[in-house]
Amino acid sequence: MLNSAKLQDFKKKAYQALDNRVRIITAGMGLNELRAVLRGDPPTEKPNPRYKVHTTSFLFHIRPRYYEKASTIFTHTFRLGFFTAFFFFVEIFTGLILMIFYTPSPEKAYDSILNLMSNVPFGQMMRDIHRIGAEGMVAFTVLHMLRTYLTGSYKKERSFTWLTGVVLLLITLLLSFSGYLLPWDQLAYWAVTIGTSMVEAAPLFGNEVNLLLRGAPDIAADGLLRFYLIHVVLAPLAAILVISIHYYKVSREHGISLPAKYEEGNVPPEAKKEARQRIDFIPDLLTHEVFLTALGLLALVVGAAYIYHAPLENVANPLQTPLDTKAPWYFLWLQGMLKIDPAAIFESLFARVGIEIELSYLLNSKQIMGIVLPTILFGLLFAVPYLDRNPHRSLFKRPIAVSIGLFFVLVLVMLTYMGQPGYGIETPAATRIIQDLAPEEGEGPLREIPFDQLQPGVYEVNITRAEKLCPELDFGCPALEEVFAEYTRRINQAAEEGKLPNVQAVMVIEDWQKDLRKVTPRIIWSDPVTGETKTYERHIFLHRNRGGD
Amino acid sequence: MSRVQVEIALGFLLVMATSIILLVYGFNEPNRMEAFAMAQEAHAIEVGAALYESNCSGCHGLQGQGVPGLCPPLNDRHLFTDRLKEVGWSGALEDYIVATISSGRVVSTRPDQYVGGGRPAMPAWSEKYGGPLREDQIRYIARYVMNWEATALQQVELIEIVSPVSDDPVVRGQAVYQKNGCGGCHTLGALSAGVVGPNLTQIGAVAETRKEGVSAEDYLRESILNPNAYIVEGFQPDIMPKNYGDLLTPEDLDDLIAFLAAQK
Amino acid sequence: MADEASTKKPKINRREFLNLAWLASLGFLTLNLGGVTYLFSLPRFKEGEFGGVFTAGRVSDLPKPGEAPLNFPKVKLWISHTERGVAAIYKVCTHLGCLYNWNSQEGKFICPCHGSQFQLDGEYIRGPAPRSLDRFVIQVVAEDGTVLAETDPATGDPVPPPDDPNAVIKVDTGRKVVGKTHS
Repeated sequence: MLNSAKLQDFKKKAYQALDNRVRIITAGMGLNELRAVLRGDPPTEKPNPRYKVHTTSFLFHIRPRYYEKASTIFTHTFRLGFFTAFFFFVEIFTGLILMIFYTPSPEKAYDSILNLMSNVPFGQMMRDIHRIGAEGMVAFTVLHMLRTYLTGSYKKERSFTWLTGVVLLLITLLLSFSGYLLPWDQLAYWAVTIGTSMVEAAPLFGNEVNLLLRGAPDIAADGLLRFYLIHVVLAPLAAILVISIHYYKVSREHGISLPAKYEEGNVPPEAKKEARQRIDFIPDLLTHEVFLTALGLLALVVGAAYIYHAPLENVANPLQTPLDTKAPWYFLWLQGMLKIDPAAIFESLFARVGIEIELSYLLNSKQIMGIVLPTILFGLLFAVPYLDRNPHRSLFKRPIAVSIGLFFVLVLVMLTYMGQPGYGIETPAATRIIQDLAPEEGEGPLREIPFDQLQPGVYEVNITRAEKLCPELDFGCPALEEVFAEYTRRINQAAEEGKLPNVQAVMVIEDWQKDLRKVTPRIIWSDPVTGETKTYERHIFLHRNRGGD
Repeated sequence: MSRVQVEIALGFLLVMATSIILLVYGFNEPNRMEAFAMAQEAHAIEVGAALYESNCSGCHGLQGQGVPGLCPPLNDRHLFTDRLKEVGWSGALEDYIVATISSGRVVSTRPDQYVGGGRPAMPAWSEKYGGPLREDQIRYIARYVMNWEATALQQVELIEIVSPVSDDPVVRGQAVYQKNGCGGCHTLGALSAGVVGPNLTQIGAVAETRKEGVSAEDYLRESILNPNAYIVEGFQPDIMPKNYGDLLTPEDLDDLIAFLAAQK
Repeated sequence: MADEASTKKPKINRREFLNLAWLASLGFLTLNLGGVTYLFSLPRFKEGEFGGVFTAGRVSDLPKPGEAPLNFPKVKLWISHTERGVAAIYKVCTHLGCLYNWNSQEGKFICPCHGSQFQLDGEYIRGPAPRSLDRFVIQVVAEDGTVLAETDPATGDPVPPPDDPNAVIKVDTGRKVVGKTHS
């Protein structure tokens, strides 16, 4: 009986010691409280230990203790800000881990990526997640900004938060752009060359900034190293700093905004009171966030494993720009802008009224469309809270602001469309046909024909019929027939449009080496102006084991 | 179940799904990595093929058959069996090929069989030594050459290189033909097997009647100095070099024409 | 604070159960992610690199038994052909890591750092080294791929070379047989 008492005493002391330890680690919650959190019970002590976590723990001090109920309505925020931050953390993790295998030198960078994908377990998955996460972060940043604009959550005291948000947009774009160069393939190299050349066009200091970025007049080893350091050190540190400022203001200073109708709408006072009802962060909202994180992770893993793979073109060739070079999608709008020539537009306008005038020396397209206009646009973005004098937040009370916003989005979409490769750029008809069949970079329908269906022979357009081309092959060659039929169709279409008079086109397939075949599409036509005979052809080598992407 | 409980339950399922997918993916990783490595090998050969065609085929032939007397064949059994012992190279064959392409050959190692293109016999291709190709491009070309191992022909018959010192202009002309690599593009009997340009095996006879009122010698002279003046059907203009007028001395040109005119 | 003995602890409710299950699954996922990170970060060896399988030539390239060993500096390897057979010996001295050389006058390996001496087959003779030299597992493989001879990984003893002069000697630098400590 004495033993039992001693045992009980010991158990009590041990329990207390453990409970103490747990309180210290969790910054305020003991074992009982933890259980209550898991059970969904109200706090077991007064003062509420869950609040103490927020005031004393470092990791939780930036999270709000409670949310106002209406601010958690899904359709108010769509959790866009949350997911933007989520993607940022994913990028940090995958980025750090990818650094183990990447070398930022032009001789080694591309090979290090090939090594990553062929010799490192989960290498391709990490790279794909990193790519999806990057594009997701840009997309969600923009969507988050759009939502904030439409719910008028940038007004009055929140105007500085909006400012830090626009800064974050720029940092996000910088992160994505600097990372884009790192694989050192054709896609990366030329997209970044275009981007930095635009910087060069800036008046006054453009040249110097360009040199700072590239480390040399052209992008080479110095440029790669600088971009790498920006991507891995400078921009992430800046991002962490500004995210902290941005989020601190949101969560601790002003709180997430409520839907406008609860602040200024015709809503009964009880509803308004309920809208402001406090919901503690621990446990319900924390659970909700863990749930969203699990959802996001699953989406990323499934996406990277089965749906999307980051592209990798041929190794960068500083001496040759491929046809159809294009910017990353979030810069297509800029590409589109650069295809507009303001001088030509104004000149034609003046010409309509009969005035002949030369404006290209005044309106330098590269400077205006590449630097001046984008700077003005971003300046306007920064100034939105200060330009907007309307105190209302509700959509219906701000028709001008809303229409300007939607107009802005429409223009962006249109410019993005114009920024597509091939749009507005004149490519000769023969080049365009063969480029679409077998592009200089990327796959194209011709390269996707299975090796065994590449029956050697000479296939002449309009002479060889695009059916039953391979009677000797067991399963025929449907892929080859399809491609040849498309080729025939495009040639005939171009001939009808007068672009390729007297056209003769052929596709030659030869056995070239072991498991290697050479395909030569060749187009011969008469120049519509001079009448001389012209030829265009490409030699495409295809190996049996090339695999599909 | 309240909304929170639904989220917890769903959350559990999501996390389990993620773990399972990672496991399944992980088991398949060795296969995927191997497939990728194979695809990269194949791609290297493809890129090498294109580079070879634009840089090397002029001397070594489109099918690696070489030009007897000028450039050694690469699609050749000897390269893959005895060559390394012949030169005393102690490393791998692919490294030998990379080294040869990178630094070229100042003088041919087999001057009685393959003279090469003068001084240097083979140019240095690597950027490091002033050439136009990057290191990775040279490696791709080497892979392409290595891919000939499977189909390498028996050693090409050695053609006696004709000494340029002779009284007979036809004999001297043959030496000019061989030294300038005409065989890289033209077929001429057993002497060469190029496919880019017209077959010259009976060019002497053909040249007499090709153009009305133009003698064989004049036609041949025009064809060499101004290749675009007459394009044989089935072939393209602007492929044959136009500068043979500068490259050949007048004596060499006469000898070459004599040699070609004798091919009947 | 309530006295533990008198209050009844409530039974587990649904939410608590679900939460515990979720925490368990998160723990499982964390283990998974840890495994992924580990597998990702562990270096993998390709053939020819140190840590992988190295091809040391053919049986016909071997010196006669008792003659000086073959030197492979890049992979830090000696191939010795002794009376008992072929052994692949790691060039790193078992004392403190210097690379030792073959002294042909004395007919033994002598380390320049502190003077440890070893026989052609790696056995310790004298010096401050604590054990005999480490050896690698060798496989002698015929041209068609059949394994003709292999070192016993337990002892590391030299293997008699097979008769096929074209058989290839492959040294697995990832499988090291630690030398025996001497008495």
